[in-house]
Amino acid sequence: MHPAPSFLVWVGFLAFFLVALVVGVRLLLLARQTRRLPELCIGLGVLGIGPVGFGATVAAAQAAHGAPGPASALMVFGSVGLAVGVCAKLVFNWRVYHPSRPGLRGLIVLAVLAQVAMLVDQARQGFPPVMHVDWAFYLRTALLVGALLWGSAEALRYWGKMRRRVRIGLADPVVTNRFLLWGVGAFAAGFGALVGNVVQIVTGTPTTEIPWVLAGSSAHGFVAAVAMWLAFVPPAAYTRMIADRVSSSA
Amino acid sequence: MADSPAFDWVCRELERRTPLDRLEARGTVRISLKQAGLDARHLTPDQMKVVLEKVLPKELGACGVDDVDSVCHALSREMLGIEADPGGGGETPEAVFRRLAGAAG
Repeated sequence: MHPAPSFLVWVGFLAFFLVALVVGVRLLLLARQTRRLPELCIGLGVLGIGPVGFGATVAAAQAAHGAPGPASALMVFGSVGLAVGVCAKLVFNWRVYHPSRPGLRGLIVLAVLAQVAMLVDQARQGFPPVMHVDWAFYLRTALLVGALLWGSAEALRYWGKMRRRVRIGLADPVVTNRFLLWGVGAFAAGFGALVGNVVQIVTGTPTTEIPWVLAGSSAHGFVAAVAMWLAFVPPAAYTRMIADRVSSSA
Repeated sequence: MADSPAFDWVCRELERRTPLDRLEARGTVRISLKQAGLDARHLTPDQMKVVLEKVLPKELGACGVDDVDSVCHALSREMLGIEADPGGGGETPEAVFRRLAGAAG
């Protein structure tokens, strides 16, 4: 019998799903307005990894026992979304933080080819709703976690620079705080994915069938949701608080 | 990647107006930029002016340069003619993240 996640677990997943959906759509609308690559990439990354990739693969795993047909369809949707999201996140990290670093373009192309290879492999197997530990699982984990933690490290590194600029009045404290929030959110999502996938590798049991892993993923999802919300849809009171804190310490 | 015109100009002028040699001048400015969270490739004249006012005087003083305030003030005033386009090319992460606020508007 497949255990149903408790209400509390759903709260974290639901928060992550809804916030990533709202933020992702808003960023894509912004990309349509500005016609700039970073907005497009970050929007696709948030939507692809969050509500589409994560949401659909969790839903597929939940539906696997009762409705295998729809579960496989969800898995196609989720896998393609995840692949697009991870590629978009990698391109964002490259173009925003290291646009002229030699060699990165080649690595990004390799990562995109790896995503295509994994999708072809999944299609060959008929998109099973529960991922089994094989070469593609390792590669998918490495690319997803790598893209998220790389993005987190870059954002936090840049936040350090921005904090120094704020001290001499050269940066907007709210924009500076956005780097911190984006770094924390990406770290929470990446670390949550890492823990879940490592547990699946060690135990051989899908993470959706291990309650404490589900609870952990949900908690990480909740942290990522709060960070994304404050970064991209911040309440006026929050931005005032950030700006006031800087002006009072100046 | 080339350093920005603002960085190159300030280093050249420091070398000309103070006893610092080329290496010392560039090193001192780079240390100041690091303290300010900036990098020489994407530096704008406006950012350099703030560094000249708030960070560089202390660093030049530590190098034994005399009358640092008047040197920095003079450089800050004369920055006006320096090309505004940063030498790094492309936009900075700060510009991207500032624009992303448009999604919140």
